[in-house]
Amino acid sequence: MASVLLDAGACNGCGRCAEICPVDVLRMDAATGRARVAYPDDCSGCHFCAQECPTKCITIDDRRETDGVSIYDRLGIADNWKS
Amino acid sequence: MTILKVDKTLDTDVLVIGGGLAGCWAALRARQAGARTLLVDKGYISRAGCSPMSGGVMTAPTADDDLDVWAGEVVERGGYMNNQEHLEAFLPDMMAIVQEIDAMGPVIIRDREGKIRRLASRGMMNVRCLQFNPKETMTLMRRRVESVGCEVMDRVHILELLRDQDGAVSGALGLFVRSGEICRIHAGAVVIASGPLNIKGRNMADNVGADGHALAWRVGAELSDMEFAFGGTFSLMQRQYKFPAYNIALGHGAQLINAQGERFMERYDPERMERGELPQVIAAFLNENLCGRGPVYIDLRHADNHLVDDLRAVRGSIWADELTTGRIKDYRERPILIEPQWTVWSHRAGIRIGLDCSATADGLYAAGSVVKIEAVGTHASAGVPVGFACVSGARAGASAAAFAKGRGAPAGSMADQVEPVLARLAAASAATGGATPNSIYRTLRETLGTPLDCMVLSAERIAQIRARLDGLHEELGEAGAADPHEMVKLEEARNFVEAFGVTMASAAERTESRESFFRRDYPDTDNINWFCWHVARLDAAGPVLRRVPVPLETYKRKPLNLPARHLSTIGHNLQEALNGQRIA
Repeated sequence: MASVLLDAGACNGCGRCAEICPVDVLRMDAATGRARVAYPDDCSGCHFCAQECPTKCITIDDRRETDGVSIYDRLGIADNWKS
Repeated sequence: MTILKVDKTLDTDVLVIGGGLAGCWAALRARQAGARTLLVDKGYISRAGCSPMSGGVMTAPTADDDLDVWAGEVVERGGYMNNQEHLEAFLPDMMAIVQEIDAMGPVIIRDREGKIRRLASRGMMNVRCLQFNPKETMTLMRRRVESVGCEVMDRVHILELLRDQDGAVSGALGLFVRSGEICRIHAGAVVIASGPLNIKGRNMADNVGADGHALAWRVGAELSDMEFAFGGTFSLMQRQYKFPAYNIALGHGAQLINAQGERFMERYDPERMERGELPQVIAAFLNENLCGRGPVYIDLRHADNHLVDDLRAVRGSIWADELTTGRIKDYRERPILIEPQWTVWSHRAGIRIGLDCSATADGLYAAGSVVKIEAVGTHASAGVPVGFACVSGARAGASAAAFAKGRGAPAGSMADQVEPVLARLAAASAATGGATPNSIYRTLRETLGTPLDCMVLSAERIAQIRARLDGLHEELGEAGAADPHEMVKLEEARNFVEAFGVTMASAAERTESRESFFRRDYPDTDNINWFCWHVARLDAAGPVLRRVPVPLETYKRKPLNLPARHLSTIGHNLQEALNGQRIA
């Protein structure tokens, strides 16, 4: 549904993102002491991790996948706005 | 992974499941009543569930409001299907709770004169909302719950409720999401505050599902009006990014227009326009598209200048950035394409509670959006569940504390109930090659289909969905989970399939259309047979459904004229498409 992109090199290991992620996507890596994206499929794009990261090393790509259930896809309707 | 034994045992007076607004208020009041209180959530309390992600709108009275005027409008807009006894009890509670939240910290948004800013509530003329910062409010709630001495445990997923020999709920079995350990929790009373029904992978508030509904169902508690948890559960969002700020945008002058630039809601609901109940607006949206006038846009070109500031105040930078960083094309230059997206709106449906927030199972209480909010009838606007979460949570916590105190500590291993759960987890740990949680959710999303497939039901469509659910039930028996994280997802999927089965069983029975629920084979609202709450309970033979009449004769407010039968609003809004055979 969304992708969490983590610049592990910029992570300071504070652990806040792994603490708060509502869907348990982020974990702390015991070997490196830094955050890692443990369950990338489950990101729901809430942005909480990115908002609270002190080093701003997380970005969320929340382009919505319509998963084949968009009414516009079904009806073949496109954005045709002419100003 | 091996999960085969109970690793630890905990003991408390009141166990609260779910750490959103409802759960935090429940824990707070239970503790204030002197009960030892344990609050658990499968996420991190203050960042889990719907509450920190809500739109920041709360329909709640303040000291300036006339509660009698409020109650009158809520009942009228609720189609007189309200539980007026609940409504009259909850409204003053809500006024007091707003003051209590306001005293906790600067989270309620104020105007330049320093007064709480009020907005008209969607679909209402007199009833008003206030705005608050949901995330900051939840930070304060957590701090407060901890400060009064509640025990708070994050990342615990509740697998099953446990009952004593008399059948009263006496605790639960939990799974630590990160370690995979199992805990047995003895409790004198349990409050379920796990949020609304949600299908995973469709919504930002994605750690809510149907756990609470299923837990209550399996111990024999009643679920009410479950068919309303389905067809109308959509909000209008920008297509590519998550811009779910429909309510806030409307408050700043947003309009819906079709491809010809026409403000089409004038034709459907000239009085309220875009501010009518969302299912009715979604039905109009679908009709416009089906009849060749789509796509539909949200037009912010003439929105006032406070829109971006307001978005930022409520949700930090998330939604404001969508508009200001160029990810969405300039909203001052062109309208934004919008479409219905599945959301969590099941306060129309859920666990049936009494005035003290007790569920219909001894020792069990429920609060927030896992509950059918009888007080508001068929009315639904975005701010209603938030206000109700606070007051029902507070009531449930106090009631649960009183129940636990009168009962004494339940004991015993309840091994007969624990063993089947451990066996279920062990089987899933060992399974290979079968379905996975992700494949189950994919099938569910495909089965539910587009908003049109969800909104327009029929005997045939309901039977098709039920057949798919039967298939999924079988797949779940073979499904595997590689680690505790996946195990939680699998358990969530099991719970969703079970609760959704109740939704479809209820839908199959309801031979009419009403508010968010629409059947093309029964397009009329039928007040002779269906002016009632539709209650389901699990019996030894399976789900049993019954109709509980709304006791209008005992209520203060009565309709002047209740037509025996009329075309439902969704039927009205979709009439052109249905008549033109534009719906397959």
